[in-house]
Amino acid sequence: MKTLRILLAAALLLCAAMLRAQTPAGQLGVSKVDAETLLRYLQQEVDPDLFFVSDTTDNKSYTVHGSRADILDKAFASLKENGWSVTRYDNRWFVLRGRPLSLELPSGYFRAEAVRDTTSLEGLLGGETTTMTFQNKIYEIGDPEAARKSGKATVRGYVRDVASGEPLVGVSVYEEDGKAFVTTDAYGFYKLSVPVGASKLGFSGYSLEDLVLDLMVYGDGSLDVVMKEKVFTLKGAVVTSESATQHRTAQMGIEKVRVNVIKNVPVVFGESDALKVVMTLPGVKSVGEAASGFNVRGGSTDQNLILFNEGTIYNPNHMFGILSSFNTDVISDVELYKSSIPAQYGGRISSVLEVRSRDGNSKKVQGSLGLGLLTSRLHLEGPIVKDRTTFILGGRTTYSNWLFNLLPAGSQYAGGRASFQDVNAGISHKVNANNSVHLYGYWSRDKFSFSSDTTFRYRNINASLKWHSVFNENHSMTAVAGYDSYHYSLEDSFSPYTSYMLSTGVDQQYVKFNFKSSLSDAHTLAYGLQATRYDLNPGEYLPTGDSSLVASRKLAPERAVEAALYVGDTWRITDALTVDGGIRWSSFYRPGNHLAGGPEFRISGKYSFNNVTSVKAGFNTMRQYIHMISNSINVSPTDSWRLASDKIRPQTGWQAAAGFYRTMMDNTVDISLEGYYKHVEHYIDYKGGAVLVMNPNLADDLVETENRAYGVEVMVKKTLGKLNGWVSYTWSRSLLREMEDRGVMTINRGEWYNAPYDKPHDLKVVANYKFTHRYSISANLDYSTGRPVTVPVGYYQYANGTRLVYSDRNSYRIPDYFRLDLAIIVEPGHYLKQLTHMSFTFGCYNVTGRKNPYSIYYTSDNKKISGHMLSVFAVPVPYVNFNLKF
Amino acid sequence: MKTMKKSIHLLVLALALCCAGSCIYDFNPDLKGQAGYLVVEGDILIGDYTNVRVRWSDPLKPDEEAGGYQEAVIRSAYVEASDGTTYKSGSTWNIDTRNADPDLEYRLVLEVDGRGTYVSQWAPVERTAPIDSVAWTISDDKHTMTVDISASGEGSRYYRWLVQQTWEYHAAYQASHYFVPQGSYLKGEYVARDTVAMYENGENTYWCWNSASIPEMMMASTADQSENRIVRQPLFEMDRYEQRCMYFYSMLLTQEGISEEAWRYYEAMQKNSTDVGGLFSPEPSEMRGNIYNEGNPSELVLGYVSVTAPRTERIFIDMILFGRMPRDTYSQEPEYVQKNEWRKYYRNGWRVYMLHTDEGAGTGRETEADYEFDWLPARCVMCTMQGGTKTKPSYWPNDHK
Repeated sequence: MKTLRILLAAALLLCAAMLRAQTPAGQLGVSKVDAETLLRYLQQEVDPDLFFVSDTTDNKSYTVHGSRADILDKAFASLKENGWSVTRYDNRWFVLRGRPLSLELPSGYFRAEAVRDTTSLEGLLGGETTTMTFQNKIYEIGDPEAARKSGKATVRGYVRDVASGEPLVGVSVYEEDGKAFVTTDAYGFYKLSVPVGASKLGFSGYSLEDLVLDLMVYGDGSLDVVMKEKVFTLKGAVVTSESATQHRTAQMGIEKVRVNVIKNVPVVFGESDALKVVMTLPGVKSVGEAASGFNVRGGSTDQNLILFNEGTIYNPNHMFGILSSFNTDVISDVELYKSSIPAQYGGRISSVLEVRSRDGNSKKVQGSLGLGLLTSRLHLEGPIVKDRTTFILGGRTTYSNWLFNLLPAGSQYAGGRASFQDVNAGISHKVNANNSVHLYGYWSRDKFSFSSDTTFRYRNINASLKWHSVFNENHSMTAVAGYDSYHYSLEDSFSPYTSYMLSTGVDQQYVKFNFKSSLSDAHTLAYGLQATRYDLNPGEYLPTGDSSLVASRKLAPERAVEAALYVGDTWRITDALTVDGGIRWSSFYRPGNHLAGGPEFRISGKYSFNNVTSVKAGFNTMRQYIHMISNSINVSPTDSWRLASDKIRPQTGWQAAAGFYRTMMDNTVDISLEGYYKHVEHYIDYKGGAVLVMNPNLADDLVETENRAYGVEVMVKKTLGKLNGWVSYTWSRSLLREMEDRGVMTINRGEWYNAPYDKPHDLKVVANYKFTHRYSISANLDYSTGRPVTVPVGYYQYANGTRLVYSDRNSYRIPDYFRLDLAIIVEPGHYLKQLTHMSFTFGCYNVTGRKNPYSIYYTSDNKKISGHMLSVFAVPVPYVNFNLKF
Repeated sequence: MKTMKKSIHLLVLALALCCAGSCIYDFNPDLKGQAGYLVVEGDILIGDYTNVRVRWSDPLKPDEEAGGYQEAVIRSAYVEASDGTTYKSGSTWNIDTRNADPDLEYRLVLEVDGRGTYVSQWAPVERTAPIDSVAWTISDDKHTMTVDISASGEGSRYYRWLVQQTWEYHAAYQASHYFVPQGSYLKGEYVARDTVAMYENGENTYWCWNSASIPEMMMASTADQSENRIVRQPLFEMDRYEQRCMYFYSMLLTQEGISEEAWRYYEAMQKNSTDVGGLFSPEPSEMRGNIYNEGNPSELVLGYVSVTAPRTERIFIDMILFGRMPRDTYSQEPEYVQKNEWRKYYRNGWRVYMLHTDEGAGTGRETEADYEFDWLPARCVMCTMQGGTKTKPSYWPNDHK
């Protein structure tokens, strides 16, 4: 409304100026001046009611002489020769380079509710780039003068959020009547080939209000679009959804969750968490509560590549897994690739989880403050230079020690402490229409101890600089350089004589050049070059304190370079049939070892029967050169990362998958059914009694296994309406088999055994119901088969005590898991004038209070062998969360 | 040290989260027990006796008393030296290796009835650094007493300790007299009717001796240290309200230097039995020892035979300063029992405590028949009812009987 008022005021001023009369004069003239000087001269000496917009690209020199009566005509004639246009309106002259001034406001201008934030003059100009604001208007694309009669033209532009100006990622852009379809990239950019003539262009994205624009396409041109968040209407549902994506791309097994969905899913202690939401997706499992490590399609946790603004996150956990590293105030969305992994990504076997942070509001400074049971959060964002440079800054800190203080005094663990802090920062700068630069930084620190004498610490540092450049309408590039660091340490001061500090770490530097190129309407090429330099500290052991007898020891650092070249093509053979093919050549050089590497193939294809039904199939091969060394089922802080070598070989694997997709019920419900089979070789498992910490001969304690995993995933998703959410069911298996025969010590005699994260049945429901604009209720249900564990089969007497004898690995299962969480979300009122907006979340985790086992184990008190079950959250955990937006 | 500490970390997290609702519950699923592994215990102790014990493992029976391990029938057992010398055992499987040459390699050879011959891998003798000191500290808030050890010198960097404890304790009350039922003999004379006699020459049912081993694996390593020195390594803890802290305590401490492989084997054994189930606990897994069936090398044999020259030391602790009356001490007011009720009380498990001193006593006019006694339940006056025996170890430093 505010901008509309500015527009009107400007228009009124313009009209007032136009009422002034012209003044006659004598002989005048200029020699060899540029256009601006000429125009300024005319304005000052001949007619003050001449308006112009200077254009420095016109480097012609002008010589004009004439009387006061004809000099204008002479000047205008020269200018017109050089591409200027002159419009006369109400006794005023408007001189512009390029297209003439539109003399009418767009139809429906005053009826439109959307807000346009451009200045009056720009608004009246039919410039090169049209910023779309209103439906009900016909947008002209290309130059009508040079209109083609038939064929196709390219429309490109950026899709941004109307309020914040931030790019909107993953918005489906499609031709309503035809089959042309794209999704916006990480910069909100899209490019679509549409037939010349009248057509309708649709824009839809999850939780965004759909847009359908009427176009009149004359030739190639730009159209920037702003979209706004959907306001849930109480009567009459809005139709269509991003289900369009599913039927139009060949890629499969891609799950995308936007931050506003993440914020609605109830989680423990009410701290909204991106990773916990990822775990509600089909095919994604975790070993138990308080475990942020996740397993995708039967793969281990270290087989997931977690990218945060292009940087690799090695430990995505805070507080031993209760929370994840990603602050939902600054992230825009998370995208999980679990089947078709584009050739652009590599280095991990199972999946790629890409987390992107937002660029920040380009219009005004705003922020939010959140208070939860464990953490408090603050975030600020806004323009540094309006519409050009934006920043976003977010931070979190804990005050969770009250939890530990609840422990009974005198308890051995009363000295326990856990805390973390993290900071996200980003600056985005638009250099010009075709170039933008982004700088991202992430820092986190975790510290926890369970007694006064042992302290665990770890930290993540990620920094990256990204340059996005559009060379021309068919060719763009993203170049990234960055540094990632993950360091872990354990300090033990149990006895002054043995106190020590153990530390491990991963440092890496990387560069990535990713190019996109449209060869024709049918082919979109993606190619690039990537290189990562690793520098690992596999273990350093140092004495602490003066009386410690510990000798300092350091394992030789591990250094290597991983490089990859890739090329991929999206080939639209027909409107119904699309094939995505890619090849990635990765190589890994570690001094002292043989060069490893080879090709990786990524192929997927889609066939659509119609707009709502399609089938897809895909095949991928992957290689992984870095392994996490751990023999606990959870991602534990003591896990260390080690590089592949001749002894610890790189993991290799392939996956074949097929799926069926259908959109039903007026495009409100998407159903997908995917099946997969996966095979991985050289997956690492551990010998009995393996020493994993500070072991220079680590390879001797490891065994190589092969992993086969297969399953079927069904998902029903409703993205629109008062009730929205998804139901997913997965049936899957993941089995391991030792590759080498070590006689009696071969794990389970060389037979297939259950992987620790093999949970065949898995049902998840995430639902949100909006009662009104302000009140909604969310539910989260999770059921899965219990995970496999190794249990004792016998016992014996040894060294005066009763000892347990274990038999087959992972042959027993803990009881099934079931949990229901509920939350009530109170959104702020929609008062635009209010400076701050408050929202509350009240919720309860594990409403039924089911004692879900995390593990079962046995102890012997030398008389009796007794079984125990550890349950992490065995009671309903209520919470309240307060958020303030300003 | 690392190993000892690890067990602490395991369930700690669980407990830390307990306040947030996490907890540990009893859980006993139906598991299929599996028996039949041979368990060989028999470290070759150079300079000492090598004690061989071979048993079978039992199938798991959750919540049943462990024990009753079936002994395997050993046909022969001997220690073989690398120069060909063999050290054979007598009828018990106690092999005299006191004078074995510490510079040779040794192995244990066993013939088990029906199963064939089992051998341990040849191994050199691991030297053991001498024990420097054994100390104990009292923690008031936890009512515990921690025993720790210090050792240094030449020898293996991997240590394992075994502790045999013996302690003297007493009943709640010291009885001065005892009941002699009719028909028994007192000092060689037939007792015609129920009577009460007085303890003489320090005899009593008050002082007893009890013994136990420490079931926990006690290990440490100095492999990460600049010198082979163990400083105040905690071995075990005692509750000060336990019987063993009541009066006088002794322990025979055996310190064994072991090989790195043995240490890893015992560490795995310890983890499998105690360090499981926590959030970050390693998954349990079986590790192969160094004992093989010659006829069937793929048979899994539990146990590890170390070859070591151990150090032993006996420690005495006078608990008068530290001990507390054990929590399970049974005490009660004595009851005055008339002669006609003696037998009834005796049958009900009561025993004579002492003379009942009433006004009549000490006047010079009393007869034996006038003596009346206070009685107490047997467990108040008989230390043998608290698990110990009256068998005093030969090395005991006091004159209690």
